[in-house]
Amino acid sequence: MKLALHRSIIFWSGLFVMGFVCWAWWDSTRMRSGLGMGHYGASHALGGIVFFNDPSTYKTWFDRGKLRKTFALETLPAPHVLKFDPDRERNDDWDMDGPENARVRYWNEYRIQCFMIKGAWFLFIPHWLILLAVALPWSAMIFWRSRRRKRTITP
Amino acid sequence: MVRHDLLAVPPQKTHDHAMKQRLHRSITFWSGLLVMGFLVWAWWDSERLSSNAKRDPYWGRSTWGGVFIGNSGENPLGDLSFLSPPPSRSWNFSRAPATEVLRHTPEAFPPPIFFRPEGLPAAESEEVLNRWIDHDVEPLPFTVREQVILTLRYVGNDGSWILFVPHWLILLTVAAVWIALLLWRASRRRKAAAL
Repeated sequence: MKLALHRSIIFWSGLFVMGFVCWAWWDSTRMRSGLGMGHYGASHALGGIVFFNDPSTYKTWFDRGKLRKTFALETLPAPHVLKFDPDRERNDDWDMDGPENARVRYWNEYRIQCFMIKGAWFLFIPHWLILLAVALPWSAMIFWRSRRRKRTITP
Repeated sequence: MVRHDLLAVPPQKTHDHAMKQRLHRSITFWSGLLVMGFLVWAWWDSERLSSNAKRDPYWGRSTWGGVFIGNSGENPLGDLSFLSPPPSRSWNFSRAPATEVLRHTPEAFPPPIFFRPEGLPAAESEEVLNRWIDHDVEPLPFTVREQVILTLRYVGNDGSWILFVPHWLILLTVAAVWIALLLWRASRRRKAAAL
């Protein structure tokens, strides 16, 4: 029995979602987009999304703009969770264009120590992880579908 | 009998009819009310929240009873906010509680203001700066004008300026135009009726 993938909703919706994630990934390498409400917010840039809580501000906002071209970009940044640490020294002579900042985590550490207060946290989720989280269940579902079809058709 | 009388004089009646203003059928009347209603709301809203829009080097803000429009100049300080990963030119919209620490001395009708850093009144600017350095109370007792002076003293650079237009002035301007248009309409109608 043929797979007839073109008649599968799972197949097309998965492609659609993954296409969107790929577009978002690409977009995050050249633009930054963000929105927030109250103490919470999300910022989309540098190959992933940062979800954060910042008790020092309270506002509703939307933001979109071009990234600095000089900013180095990591191909597969690692996911991470950061918390504001009051005991850590603040790094005031941080070099925006220095070689170390190729790591997204480095940038986020700088941001949380410089601009936030106790209770602030960052959660960074890279796009490759989101893509993987969609692609794996999707291929599993396609696989089960093919097995199901084989069983039902073959007597 | 009364009813019969009325029906007996139709020409008289149409004439009276044309003389009436019939404001409820005027687009000017209703759109003016709508715009002024919005302005009154915006005025009230600006006393409790700050609504901001930014596109470097320009920024706009409705707060403290008026609208600010500014240019942060040739070499802006940059977005010293965690919201903007690598500094860049961007659009930004936000709404937040009106600043309390820098809260101005409440003024019911603040005057319109326009300043460039090089055009600041020297004596007043010095006095405001000293008052700011000596301050030991918060919120700081500054008027909108003094806030603008302080801001330009601190972050003003080549090409920067700040314009403040109070909401009462915007409302007054719209109301004046609205009344003028309605008066014009009334005179047109009177002329048409006289024909």
